Amino acid sequence: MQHLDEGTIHAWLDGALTPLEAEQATKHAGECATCAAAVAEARGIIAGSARIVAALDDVPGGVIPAGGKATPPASGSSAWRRLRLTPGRAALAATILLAVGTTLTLRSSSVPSSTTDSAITATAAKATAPATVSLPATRAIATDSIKVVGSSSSTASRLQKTSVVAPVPQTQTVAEQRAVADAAAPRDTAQRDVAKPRGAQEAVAGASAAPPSAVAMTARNNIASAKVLEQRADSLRPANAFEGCYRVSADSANGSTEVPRGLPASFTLSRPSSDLRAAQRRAFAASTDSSAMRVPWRLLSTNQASVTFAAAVGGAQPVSLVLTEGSPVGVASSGDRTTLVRVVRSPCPP
Amino acid sequence: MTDLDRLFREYHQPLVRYLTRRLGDRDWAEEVAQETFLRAVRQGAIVSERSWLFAVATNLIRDEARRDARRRKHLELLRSQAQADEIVEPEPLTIERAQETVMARRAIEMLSERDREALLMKEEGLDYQEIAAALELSVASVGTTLARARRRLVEAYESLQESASHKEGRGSHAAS
Repeated sequence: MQHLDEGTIHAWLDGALTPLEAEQATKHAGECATCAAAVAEARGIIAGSARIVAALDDVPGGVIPAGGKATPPASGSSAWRRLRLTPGRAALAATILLAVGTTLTLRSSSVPSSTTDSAITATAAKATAPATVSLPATRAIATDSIKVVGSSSSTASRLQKTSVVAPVPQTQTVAEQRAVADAAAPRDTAQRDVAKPRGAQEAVAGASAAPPSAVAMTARNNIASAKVLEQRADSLRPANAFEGCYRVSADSANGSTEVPRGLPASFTLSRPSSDLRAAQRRAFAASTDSSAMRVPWRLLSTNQASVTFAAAVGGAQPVSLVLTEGSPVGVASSGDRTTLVRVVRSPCPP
Repeated sequence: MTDLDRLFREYHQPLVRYLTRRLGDRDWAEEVAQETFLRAVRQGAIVSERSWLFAVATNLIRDEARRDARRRKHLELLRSQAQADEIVEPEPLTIERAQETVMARRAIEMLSERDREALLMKEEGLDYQEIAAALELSVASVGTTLARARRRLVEAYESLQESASHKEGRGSHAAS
């Protein structure tokens, strides 16, 4: 018999050989010193690898390794995390940026004070922005980026809804406001091109003018912020599908007779954004007085969401509930226990 | 007790452990396991339960890895925000254990995907037939795959240990 190959040795030690093959391997290893040494080495390798694998169990939740093929996304490489940016902070930063930009624009402009902020901002934005980025989008992102999360309307209409900087009459519709801004922008741009070489004209020159003016830089930053936040808004759109009120009951269809302890009879999902976190504690505290409790949740994928219910009493474990869009069956997990429950939408209390 | 209850009782824990070892993140492992059991609900009758569950879970991980990078970054952001609110904190690890864990993680990530999955499935008690079915391998090649995976894992770990001790040596030398 020829020497045992490494795969056969491992299969033998793993008990995966047939009785006949195992007998032959045993006999050969007893007679062949080379194979006996290889078997001893394989035992050591099996024990060593098992010990290394067991060491992986010490990994706490939330630790994701960087790199590697088919590994989860590296949390350490997230730009949001590196910059310690939350959506709230990003919105605040964008608002400050816009305010500073507007102030600088006003200071550097020779346009009479009767010219509206809207027109000035429009000039700066249009000077550097590609045709796809319009004034309302730039402004709205800076002033209402958090509201974008979880809203049910489309990104474009959401972005048009808010207008804090521009003092447009309240009676105007969004379309009218936009028409006014669009109509004013080219005219003002032309005026400022003549009246003020620095500023808008410099911004038009873009990268070729060195160094770029504060106005141009601000406009570019605003556009970049708008794009980033618009992408975020696009990716959050599936969250809308889960907003609403739910009732929980035992999934009798699958043989369950009870709802896991810690799951409420009803709950309400609102937007899964970070600003909810601040209200969580209050929401939990108020849950006993309310027929439906508000809870933190998050999207797992386009058609799945995970809801976490805090432990109602000390020592109990929190319960997580995974919902699938269009499915009345939810998966509740608490500790090592997983249970199917029936989760159906119900009318929200007024 | 229904078949589904039995499936959960029998396989939830080993599946989550396998996924935790594979992903390095217990929360995410739990989510993938839940999705796997949801699919089992929809699937109905399953012939080879354990290999089916491990195969579906493995494919879910692979699918996830292929998804759009922007989307994954965004989900990661949401997850990290939710984690900030978690009530149950993991026990702090000792420095030595944490180092071992980091090295083990790096060593396992140095394996090829197939070797890594085969090894982790074997450590969860799957037999050669089940591993072959889950990874679409021939049964005869499982032994070779496992032998290679184990050897490379041990070698990678030892190499990481060596480089770590060299660094420590240099550090203490510089300090003195």
